[in-house]
Amino acid sequence: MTETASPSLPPRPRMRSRPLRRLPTLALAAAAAGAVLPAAAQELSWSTYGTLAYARSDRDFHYLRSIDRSGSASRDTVLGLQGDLRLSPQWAATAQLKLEPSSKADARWALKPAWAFLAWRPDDDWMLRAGRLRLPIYLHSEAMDVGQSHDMARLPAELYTVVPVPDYEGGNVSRGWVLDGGGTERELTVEAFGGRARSTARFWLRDGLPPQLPAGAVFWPVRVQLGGLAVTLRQPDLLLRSSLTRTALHRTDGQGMAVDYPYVALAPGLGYYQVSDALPGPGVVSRARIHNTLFSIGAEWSLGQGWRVTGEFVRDVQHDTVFGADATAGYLALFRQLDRLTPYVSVARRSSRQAGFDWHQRLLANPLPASVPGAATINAAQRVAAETHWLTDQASVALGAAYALTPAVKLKAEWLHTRIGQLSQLVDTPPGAQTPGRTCVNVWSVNLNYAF
Amino acid sequence: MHHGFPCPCPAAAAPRRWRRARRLATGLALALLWPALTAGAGEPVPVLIASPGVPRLDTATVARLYTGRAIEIAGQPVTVANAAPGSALRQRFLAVYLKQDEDAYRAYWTVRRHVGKGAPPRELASSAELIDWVQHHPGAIGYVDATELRPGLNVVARP
Repeated sequence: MTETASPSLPPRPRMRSRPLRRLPTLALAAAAAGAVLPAAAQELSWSTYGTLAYARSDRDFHYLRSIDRSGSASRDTVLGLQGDLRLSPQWAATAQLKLEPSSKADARWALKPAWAFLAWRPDDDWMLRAGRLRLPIYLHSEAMDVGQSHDMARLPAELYTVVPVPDYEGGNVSRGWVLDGGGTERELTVEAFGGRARSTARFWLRDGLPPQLPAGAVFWPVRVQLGGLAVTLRQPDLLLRSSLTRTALHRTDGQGMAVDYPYVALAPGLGYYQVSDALPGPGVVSRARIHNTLFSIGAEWSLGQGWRVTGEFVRDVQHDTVFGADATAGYLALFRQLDRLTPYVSVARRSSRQAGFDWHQRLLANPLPASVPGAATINAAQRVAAETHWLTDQASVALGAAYALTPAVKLKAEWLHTRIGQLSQLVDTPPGAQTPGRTCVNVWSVNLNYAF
Repeated sequence: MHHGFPCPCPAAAAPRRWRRARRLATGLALALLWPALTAGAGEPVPVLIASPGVPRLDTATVARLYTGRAIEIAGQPVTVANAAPGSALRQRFLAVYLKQDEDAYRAYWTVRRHVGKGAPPRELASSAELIDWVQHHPGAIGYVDATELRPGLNVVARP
């Protein structure tokens, strides 16, 4: 879901993994449905997909969690298995398991369900799905894990990390219309979706606040309630999608979400921002829930002669607070298919609200002198608060190519040049270093993608 | 005069040379024209058959059924089946009804399956298997080569 507003120094969360526990429930429901339908109509089919990837950069700091100078296979590697049980022409159940780097810990892998849902199509036009589903926000939302289904070595991080964990548990109702215009068949689909999601917000603390918060990556579980509408138009040479989603996010440990830090003056020109109720001061202003409104629009247009252009834009408006995920992001990519080879070039940009950067600066710019009792703790707490604001200001250009070894296997390679502006939450600050800003990172990626 | 031996005289050799020349010309002409004369010959002709009660289908409807965008005909739920991947019959069916080749069709279903819109049609290894399946399952639709049609089958579409 959309990343959270800055929590105020929470305790380390308990790590829970509920989605897998719900799989038996869905399997039971599918089995029950199957039991009442003619056995001859049932059909189980399996498919598998995967990306075997390697990426390295020219910098020592981690970019996108794991890419650095020493190289990493874990950023883009994913293995998936999908089972489709057709119970009748109208009823079907789908479950997809994937193995990928854990969203709850660095250097760990997790097997988790991407999807697990029951689908009912009462007729050609309507489809109702319930279970664990993918949010239909981006052009490649549903198949973003299936690298074989698109040509980019990595979908632009500037846009595709605005909603970093796009699965939810709930329902999706879609209605389709076939529009016949001038001999071109167009298919218009409107989807209404709603439910809730458990997500994990990852933050990188350069110094932390030992012993309560160690330095390094921290993972705070959050819960999101969401609802929205998506409209998709498909025709042979054009794919258009737009969506509007409303979310309400709260922490699962019962603590509020900080929306303002009061200034505590100690002397003229000397003071600090109270970022935690554990620090002296009038109290952190917080809310139980933070709301976001997310608008997206994207198009993929085939221009003929093998040329294709893709562009997406997303605006994530964070209400209630200036701390957090408010972001504007987009990219434009141009592809040219030459038989099996598809080279491409893309540009991408993402920026957060300036008020967020101002707060970040405010919290780090004026540390208390060491002579003030408790200064070290207060300064560290202010840095932690600043680092838990989800702020990103960066732009990228990528040159790459996909080569179809077979219809089911693609080999891709890409050079990505990213310019970090004020700062980027997609970069981890090394211990003792300044927060990377006004700098660049080059990333070389190669991956093998398949889907059978 | 016929004496059983090749006649060395020039008058007898001339007709043989003409016959050889005619044979050579005919062979050359056949070699050149063979691809044109045999175009379409031996190529499968996919004919759609269905269980009793399924009405005739137009090409657009067939395309919608085999791409998962339709699941019913006149309110009756239907299930479609394909021939084995890579078979000449399937390739011809895809070209005629869907205007696609095998690679494009597989790519389409790879995406559709992994966006949660369903699995591709079942695949049956032989025409005999398909005919048996169609005859025993209400709403079943498949295709066979025209040479394998037999009396009593419900033909719902021809190229």
